[in-house]
Amino acid sequence: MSAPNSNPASNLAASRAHAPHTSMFLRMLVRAAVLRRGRAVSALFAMAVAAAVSTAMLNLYVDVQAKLRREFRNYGANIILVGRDSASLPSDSLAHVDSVLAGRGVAAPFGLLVARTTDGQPIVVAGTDFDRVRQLNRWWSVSAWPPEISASRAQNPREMEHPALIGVRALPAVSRKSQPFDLSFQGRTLHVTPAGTVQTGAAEDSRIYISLADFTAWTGVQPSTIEVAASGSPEEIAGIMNQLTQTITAADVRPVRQIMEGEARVLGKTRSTLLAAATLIILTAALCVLSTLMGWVFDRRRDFAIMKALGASGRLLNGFFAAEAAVLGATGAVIGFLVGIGIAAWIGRVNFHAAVVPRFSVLPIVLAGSMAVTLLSAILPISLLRRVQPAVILRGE
Amino acid sequence: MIQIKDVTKLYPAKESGNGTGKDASSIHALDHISLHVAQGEWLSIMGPSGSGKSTLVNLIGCLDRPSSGEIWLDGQNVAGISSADLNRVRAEKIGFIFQQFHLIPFLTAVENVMLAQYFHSMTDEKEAVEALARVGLGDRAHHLPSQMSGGEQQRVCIARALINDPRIILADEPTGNLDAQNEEIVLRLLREFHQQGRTIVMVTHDPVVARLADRRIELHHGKVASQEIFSLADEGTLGASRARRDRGSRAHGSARRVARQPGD
Repeated sequence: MSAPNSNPASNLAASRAHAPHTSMFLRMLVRAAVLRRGRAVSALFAMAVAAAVSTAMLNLYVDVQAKLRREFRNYGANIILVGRDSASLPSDSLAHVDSVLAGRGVAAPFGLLVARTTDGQPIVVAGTDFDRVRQLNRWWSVSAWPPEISASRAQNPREMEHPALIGVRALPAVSRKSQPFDLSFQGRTLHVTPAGTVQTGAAEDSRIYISLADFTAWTGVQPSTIEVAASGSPEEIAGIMNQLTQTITAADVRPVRQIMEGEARVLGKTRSTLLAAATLIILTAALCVLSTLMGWVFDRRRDFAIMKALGASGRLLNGFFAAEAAVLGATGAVIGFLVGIGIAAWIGRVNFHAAVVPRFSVLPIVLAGSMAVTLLSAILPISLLRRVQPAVILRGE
Repeated sequence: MIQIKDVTKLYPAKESGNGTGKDASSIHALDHISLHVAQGEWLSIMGPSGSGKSTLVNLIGCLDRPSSGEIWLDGQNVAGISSADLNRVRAEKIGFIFQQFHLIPFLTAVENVMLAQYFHSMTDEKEAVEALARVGLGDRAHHLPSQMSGGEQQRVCIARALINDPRIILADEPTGNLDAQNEEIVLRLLREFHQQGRTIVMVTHDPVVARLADRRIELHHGKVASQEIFSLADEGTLGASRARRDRGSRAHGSARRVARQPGD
């Protein structure tokens, strides 16, 4: 050691200025993390769990609307178009609806009338497009769908059998052992062959569905109703309804309230549940981090007391501790994000039979949130750190 | 160099109502003590446990504040300065040597020395390794404290205390946890620092170690009960230590015990 000199501390600093420097701050961070990895790992685990759950919840939160709306569309129409004053709809109505939807849903036309069975009983007969109904009402329980009948083939009703879908409650009235039967409407008879049965638990169970081509060829009646299952947010659905109203002026466009309100209710509840679960888990993780950081400070009181005795300022020590917490939060966030993406994908596959698309836009939110949680959790330990009295700690009290 | 004027340090009592008639809510760790330590002097402090030795060293080292009185270090009264200024004083003017070594366990020997550099100004690893080499630990620079013996840890502590070229070295029982061989090494180092003209204040329970100093004071109940100057010729002169050092071995000097009155 050299003899004590009279030059001030700045001279010593100047003599060191030319030395190669490595960040002591960084060294301390790395050393503390590596050599105290037990504590670090437990805090990191808590942060990673919180970040993973947050990532999964946020991914689902964003994706669940689309997924649930798709699920809701399997339960039928949310918009219905009816000819004004019970009149039939213009023949180009379905084309207009398809044009407005532009792939954002599916529409099926329905013509309805009351026909008579061979023993004179009234029965509701519906003409529709089976392919479209099949897409629209996936929830219908159908034993076998009839083949679609082209309009040209339907022109000669007597040349062929006309397949029909029979409601389970209507079946006993029209056909024993699924035998073909006749229906009459205004003196015209249609020979119908049951192709399958339909069961919905609603009015459909009492109807007979035939193809729209057979229906119009037999009765000359055009469809009076178009049911639409449109996808999108409530605002998008309202926009579609508005366009339909403007395009097809001969129709009343109405929402199917039970579906739309139920959908909104379920979506709202699902999102609230996701938010509440995420909040609770994040709070729990924050408590874990807080308790870990408190233990961390308690374990390291002596280290901080030594640093204070060596001349470390309170601000530097606070900064060091906050930096440790921030690194912990950032590392936990990145690990948790990757795990959370996996969890979200798994939940999506199990519940919606489609993977939830990983949303990397969630990463900054999870990163900022994790760091905020750790830094907020660090406030109390830092206030304890401020009270560390080196004299008291170093004499072993 | 170090001037202590009428300093009292009170600690809150753990139990009140001791029936002594004194202030029942506090304990007098130091009781109106006054002391002067000249530049380059080696002062040893002795006394039974609880007599106020460590409290006195902590006050001189700016680790604590007095309840009343003044503490002047190198012309600056540190009793009333801000915490930030106290940090600077500790970093720039004082080197601590602790009985328990007090090294940061997750930093290597050289990093522990660099830590003191860091809090002072900036780090210089080469300088830190050289400091370790001077205390005989050049080959142990990258070992953790847990991989070193007590004597080696104490020498790291000494290298750390000296790295910022402090004017005052405060040693609180520096050989208390060492075997005879390491005690000899540490005391030899302290003698070298003293010969270089550094001011040393050392707490010790060992009378033999205390006799290495220029002067010894004994504390009882927070007061200076007695002091002993180890050379009649040196008494009363600020350059006492240097004069004796120039003459050579302390073994040839005589000692005189001087009874002290409280507040003297």
